[in-house]
Amino acid sequence: MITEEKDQFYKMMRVNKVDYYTDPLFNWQDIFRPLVASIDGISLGPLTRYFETNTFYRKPIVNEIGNVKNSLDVDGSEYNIPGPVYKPNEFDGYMTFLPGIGTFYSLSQVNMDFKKFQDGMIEVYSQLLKIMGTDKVFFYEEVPKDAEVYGSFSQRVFLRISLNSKNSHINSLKVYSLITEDPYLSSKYSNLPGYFALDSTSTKLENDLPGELKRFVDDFPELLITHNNYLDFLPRKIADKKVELLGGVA
Amino acid sequence: MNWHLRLPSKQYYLLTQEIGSFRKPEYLSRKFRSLDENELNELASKATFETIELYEKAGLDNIGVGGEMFRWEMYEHPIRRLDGIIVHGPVRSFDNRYYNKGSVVNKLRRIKSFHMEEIQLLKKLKKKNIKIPITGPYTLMDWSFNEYYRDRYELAMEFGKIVNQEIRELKEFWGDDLLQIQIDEPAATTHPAEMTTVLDSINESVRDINGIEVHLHVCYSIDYGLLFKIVPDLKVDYYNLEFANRDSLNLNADRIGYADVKRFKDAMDVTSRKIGLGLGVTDVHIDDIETVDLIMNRIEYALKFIEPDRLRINPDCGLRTRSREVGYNKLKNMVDATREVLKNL
Repeated sequence: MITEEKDQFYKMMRVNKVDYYTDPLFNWQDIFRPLVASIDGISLGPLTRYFETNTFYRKPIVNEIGNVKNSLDVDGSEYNIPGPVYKPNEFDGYMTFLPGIGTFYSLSQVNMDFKKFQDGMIEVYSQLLKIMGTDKVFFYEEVPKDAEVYGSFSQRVFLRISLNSKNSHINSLKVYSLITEDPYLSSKYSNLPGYFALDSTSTKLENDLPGELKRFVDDFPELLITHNNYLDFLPRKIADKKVELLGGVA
Repeated sequence: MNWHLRLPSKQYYLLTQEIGSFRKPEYLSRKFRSLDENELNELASKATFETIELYEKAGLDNIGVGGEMFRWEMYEHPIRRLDGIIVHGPVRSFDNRYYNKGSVVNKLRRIKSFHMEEIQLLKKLKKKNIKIPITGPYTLMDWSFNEYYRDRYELAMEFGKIVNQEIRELKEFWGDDLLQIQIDEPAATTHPAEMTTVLDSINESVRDINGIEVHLHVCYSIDYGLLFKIVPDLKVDYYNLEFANRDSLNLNADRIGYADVKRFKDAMDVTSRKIGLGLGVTDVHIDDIETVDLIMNRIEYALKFIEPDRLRINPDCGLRTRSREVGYNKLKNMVDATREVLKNL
């Protein structure tokens, strides 16, 4: 059923001519769960509120950062995910979704300093991306403690950071696409500036999206437009309409 | 008015209570959404009897409303009884669980009581030891999309007025006896900058209603300290809080999950109102049955700070995500542990 639903999702992306998309995470209980299940040395902790939202996650307990387990098909028990977790995808626009390293660190109980954690996560993320065989990776970063590190990946990096987050600061950075509320800032640090054009916290539809985006036409030969957070925060019916709005702009 | 707190007799030491929801029997949960009003009333009543029997067999002092069998879940139940809010579909809450999140698109108006069927049934059964959970105004606001009111404060206060109407009506039906009301506010400390909204909307919910004992249930808080700061101004008698989720299952571990009990005691000391703590001693999101020894250890830890007549014992939250068997075993051990502790008081 999950595979069928995912196939429908990818079809919707293609029909709406959405250029880039990640796994819809239908079978991820939270953004860390599959990683906790597939990296040695990390285990599940208490149910914890996810930032200032009504969603919860199991806090990862990080005692060490080992290797990625050979099989990414973790078991489908109550606390884990009906696999497959990471499934190679043949579509051109597909990006592998990974939680940002700063976010992972900040929302976990980590028994090591940030530098050691970061080095370990770069290693396991590199292993994972190699297994996946994808050339594009999307980092969801709420707490960019050291955004510069994303320049070290060999894949094409799409980095999503909310500047409204009190923890956000960017010193120096070069990635393929930086996605924020401010496309002018995004363009300083990336080839393809990204912009949060749709609000995933409101069921109101942005029906005049093309009109709203006209102000950027002269300044950006290319602009990646997307939503400001997971569409999981919206009812599916509204989320689908927002995807259609994205496609309408194209 | 809180006669439990004013009579610190041993019979009021460490009263055991549940927090609200309990897993529905399959004959009810499978058909819940397709039943008409009469069918739902019949099956939910049957499920309530059975759940009360389980609670009484476990030995609970307070049976709540028998597991919230009339409610699908805590948010959708009240908002389906309001005008001015529409539901587009489910959104994720945690794990792979979803709830129907409403969009407020017009002025809110209560068109039907939320919980009258439950209290009517309990009164008919001559149950006195009940506690009615009601979803709080701040949580109703936080879990809704606001597309009508000026801001979140205004919407929370509107929900506060509606909850006040509901409680007032339940109390009028209940009569002269003290009625325990539990305002469920899992969202209470979600946004640290909005604690004034939390305070004002909860107080609005109980404004000018006499003869009720007000409980506030908060769980999975990032920082209970935010709540403790407004305790002196809240018109609340009992705070039923989650602790076990953040504690170790190891009997010999430091009771790290209960560190906030001391902070609660500090809040008690600076408020003129006599208040008490409902101590969450079982984790409702795992199937492990906490042993009697572990629960005793948790209660004894809390008793270092809180007097026994101001301490009640409960699960962290509603048990609806566990099977009925697991839920019962957790409650049974909770009661057994409490009785063991009481022997030494």
